[in-house]
Amino acid sequence: MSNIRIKPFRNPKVGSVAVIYGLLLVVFAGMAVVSPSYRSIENIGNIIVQCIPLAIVSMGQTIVIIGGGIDMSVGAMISMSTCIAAVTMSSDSAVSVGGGLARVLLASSGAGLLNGLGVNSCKVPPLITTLSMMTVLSGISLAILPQAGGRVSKVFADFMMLRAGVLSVSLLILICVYLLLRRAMYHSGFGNAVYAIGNHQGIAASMGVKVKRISILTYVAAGVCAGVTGLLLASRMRIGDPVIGTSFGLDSITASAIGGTSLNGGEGQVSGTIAGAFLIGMLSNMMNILGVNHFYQYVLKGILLVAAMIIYSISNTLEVKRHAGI
Amino acid sequence: MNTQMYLEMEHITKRFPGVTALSDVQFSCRLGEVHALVGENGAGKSTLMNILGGLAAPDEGTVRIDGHEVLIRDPNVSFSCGIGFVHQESNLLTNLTVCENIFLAREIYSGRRKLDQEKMRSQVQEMNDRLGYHLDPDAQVGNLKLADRQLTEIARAVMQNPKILIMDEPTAALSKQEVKRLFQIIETLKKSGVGIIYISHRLEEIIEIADRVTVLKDGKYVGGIQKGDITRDKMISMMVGRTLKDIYPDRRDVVFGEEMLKIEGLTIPGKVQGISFFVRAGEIVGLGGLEGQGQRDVVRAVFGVEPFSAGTVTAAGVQYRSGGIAKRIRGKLGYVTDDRRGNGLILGQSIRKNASIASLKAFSRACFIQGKKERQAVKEQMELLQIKASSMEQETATLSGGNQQKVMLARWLLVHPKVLIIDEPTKGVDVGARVSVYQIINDLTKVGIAVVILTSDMLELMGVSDRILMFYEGQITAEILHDDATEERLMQAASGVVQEVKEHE
Repeated sequence: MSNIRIKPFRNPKVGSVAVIYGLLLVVFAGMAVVSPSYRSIENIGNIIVQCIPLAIVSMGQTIVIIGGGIDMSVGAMISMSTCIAAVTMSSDSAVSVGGGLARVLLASSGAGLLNGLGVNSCKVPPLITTLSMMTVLSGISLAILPQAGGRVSKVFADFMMLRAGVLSVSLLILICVYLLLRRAMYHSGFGNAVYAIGNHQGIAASMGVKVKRISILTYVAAGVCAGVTGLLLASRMRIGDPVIGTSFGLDSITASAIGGTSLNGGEGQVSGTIAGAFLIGMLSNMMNILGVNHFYQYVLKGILLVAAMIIYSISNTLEVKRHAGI
Repeated sequence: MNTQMYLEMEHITKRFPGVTALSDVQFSCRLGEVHALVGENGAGKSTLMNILGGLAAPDEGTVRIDGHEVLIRDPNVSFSCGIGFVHQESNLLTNLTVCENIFLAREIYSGRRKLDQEKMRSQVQEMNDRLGYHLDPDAQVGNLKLADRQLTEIARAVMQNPKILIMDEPTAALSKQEVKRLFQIIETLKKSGVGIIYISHRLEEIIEIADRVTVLKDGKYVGGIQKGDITRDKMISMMVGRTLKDIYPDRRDVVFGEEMLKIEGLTIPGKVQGISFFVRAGEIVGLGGLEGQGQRDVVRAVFGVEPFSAGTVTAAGVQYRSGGIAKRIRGKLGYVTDDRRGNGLILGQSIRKNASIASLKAFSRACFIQGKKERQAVKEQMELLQIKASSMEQETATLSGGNQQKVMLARWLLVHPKVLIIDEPTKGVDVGARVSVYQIINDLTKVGIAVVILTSDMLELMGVSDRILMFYEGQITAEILHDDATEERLMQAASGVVQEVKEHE
């Protein structure tokens, strides 16, 4: 009876990342066995490129969720970013491309900042704040480009889409964003503070954490990630599309959850989210190859989410029992 | 000893909606002294310390540190004033490790603006050596025992090298040996020139270590006692303003009936093991012990809030399985929670709705509430319990702690309970209302209700209980009758010294 009064907990830093990467590997191995074309370098490169946009935006989402919030507006931010890119980066000149890049990142981080201020200064619940932001940004996107169109500089787009085998510029961007976020989350006081406010804002504040500032920063991070994602999509399409990002809002939350992030906050990891995003992307790629109707992909995505939650819930229970010494 | 006051607080007044928590209070602390702050629950000790910790702002009054007037806006200002705070309730983040908690918002960086994990870990180890702890820097706080969480908090506060260290009930979760070690640490800190503000309910602890005592009562400054004059009786009479006899009802002439609540072999995995006890009609049984020794889990399991894996719970002749709160309420079992504001009252709703919610069936016909009947019953209870409110439609959020507690009691009395469990009966209740809460409980037993009380206040435990059961690490270590109860015996039992458990026929 030495371990009295144990609260159930998984260590957020070790977490269940291994589980999700294992699952990813199993799915890939299964497909590779079934279909030889699936394991070609070409297809692997394709999958990676396809999954990267969701992975990047989901990493930002994960940070917001760990901090105890949620951001429904990242999808709309992506759409807006493609639209801004398509109207400001039409010529190949460095001035045009640079100016466009700056505008996209400013707009998306600005939207994130407003989200953070709404949640922390105006005390509007995160869900409401970011849903409102989503609506506003959708309107702005449609005002910029009523339908898909505009033009993205060919030089810029070609550069962003550069590929050699499994390597690509977009993969490089993913890695850079990941390393940056990893540094922030695990090698600076910021990361500890994000986990702290996600666990208990009051206690974190009483220990001297600047709750408002940290929380606002998480939303800004999500905004920047959405902006980068928007740039990637714009480069791929070479146009802007005011509704292209719609599905990313919920998908990014799904990817975070599958990757082991608790929607209650205070628990989760950026690296798990990447695996979550790749799992979602790989499954849709797989079904495209197998010729499964598009609609069923939604069904499968839902099942995947529930299955992941069940696995986590079981492993959590086991963990509690282990600590209780049963 | 330095005679200069390092910390001075004067004319401090703090109002909360509905109550004045502090009115014109003064307090001071020198470097190198232990200044104890005593008072009953709700006397304003924690509020006063929260002002120092930057968690509450005073409405009036001044705080001076080292002669300079300061405004302690937030915890960081408090920190830079050299004030360290060990909080009463575990004030740590359960999802972070010991090391991360200790250094949160005070992280150490290496040259490249990168966290210096190694240095922080080694400092925790140094602190371990210095304080004689065995904290694992990488253990997650959520997985620690309460005592270790308390030690983590102390380590965090000491790590900041404070000039003034506030310790709010630091021993509530500590065993006797751990308390002893804490006192050695306090002694060392004192010698190195740290001023310590020590808050505790345990008066012997204060006699042992305090150089000076300040007594608060009902948010007011009562007076100070200098070393040498500090005695138990003096502190109690100043804290309470009357003798103990006047507070706790005389229960010498009560007669107990048959067993109303019987618990046999109750086991909650990881919390309690094979607990058995009984409560007779008209009897008050008090459950005591350090925090988190399983006593609260037992009553929560009895009421069906927490599941149990083995054992039986029999109340008023009905045997209950794990879970099933509604069934227990129908079986005349009531539970007044310790967390009144969190899961007791529906704060935004009226006294009437709060009082009648557990017994709506009695006022209903074909699933419609008969308002007249309900109002009549609530009115009777309000008169009986002397609930002070403008009307029964007043929101419970605006009531004082004492009246809120009475509304909770009214809720369960309307169920006409045969067994009533009261968890922390006077938490956040002022002295006047306390006396009437005790009186109400006393009256209940006279009509044959069996009462179980849980309290962390040892005086209260000894004062109200006919029989006391002490818990330690999920087991009952002692059963002590009212007349045999002394603080010494209770503390021994609370520290795990098993005493001969009296056999009842």
